[in-house]
Amino acid sequence: MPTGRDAELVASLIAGDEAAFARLVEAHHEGLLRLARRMLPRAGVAEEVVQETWMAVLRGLARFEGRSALKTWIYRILVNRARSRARKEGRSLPFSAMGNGEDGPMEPERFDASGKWQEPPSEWDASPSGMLMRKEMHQAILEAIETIPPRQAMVLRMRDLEGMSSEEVRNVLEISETNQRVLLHRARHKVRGVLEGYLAGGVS
Amino acid sequence: MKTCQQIAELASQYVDGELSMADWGQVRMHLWLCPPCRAYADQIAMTRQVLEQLPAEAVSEDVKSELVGRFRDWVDAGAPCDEDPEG
Repeated sequence: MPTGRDAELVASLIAGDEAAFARLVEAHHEGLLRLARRMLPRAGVAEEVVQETWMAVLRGLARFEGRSALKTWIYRILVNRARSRARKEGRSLPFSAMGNGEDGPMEPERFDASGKWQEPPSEWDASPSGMLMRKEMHQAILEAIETIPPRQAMVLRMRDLEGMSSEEVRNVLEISETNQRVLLHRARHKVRGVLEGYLAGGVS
Repeated sequence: MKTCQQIAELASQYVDGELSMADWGQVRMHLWLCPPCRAYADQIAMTRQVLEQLPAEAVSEDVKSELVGRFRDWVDAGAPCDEDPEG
């Protein structure tokens, strides 16, 4: 049986608490949608699958066993539904093949032949909280996430934006630990590059 | 000995506290001696922090009220909830 806040939330939903459902939608809908779009880029399809996911979540609530967080369970339902939808659409799936050319070495030109920095990272004179004060930075980061390869973006969203553990992400995406690790670091490395561009580019 | 390139590859695991003791020791030592790698690891940590603290992306009011409407229909139908959601 689920315990704690998730259990209370499940009970409220079953009891018909609209406000509780609205809060759940506010917290997760957009994140789910942006993830789904990376698996289903055709206009409108991701929207449909996320809507179906919400209904599947409600109709499946009695099956939620609390072995994972409710959020992780919802993401897993979404990813599975998006996968089968992609299969029906005849799309090649971002997670069907392990090696798909996304995972080449990270900016090898920044290192010399012996693996030393050739182009070292520039110094940043900003703190995370300082960066977060800047609205244009939020936008730039979110846009950057849209441009990184789908699997990297999905892992990054779940790990860093949604705060899931590596185990939860592996469970949702059914990928290996090594894969999860490489995808996450590649993604962070790219976002770091965007921040670097801002902090060195003198946009003040 | 690991190269800077190899250390940079381990930066996320380092800042997430996911390295084995042996790797952690090696990375630690390298960072102590190598300012560029130290800057890189700090920046990966900051990147993670910024990502974690981004405000939740907002759902549109239209979409939200449509979903709440569907929730109401589900409640009116007696809140059936024993389907397999992954099926």
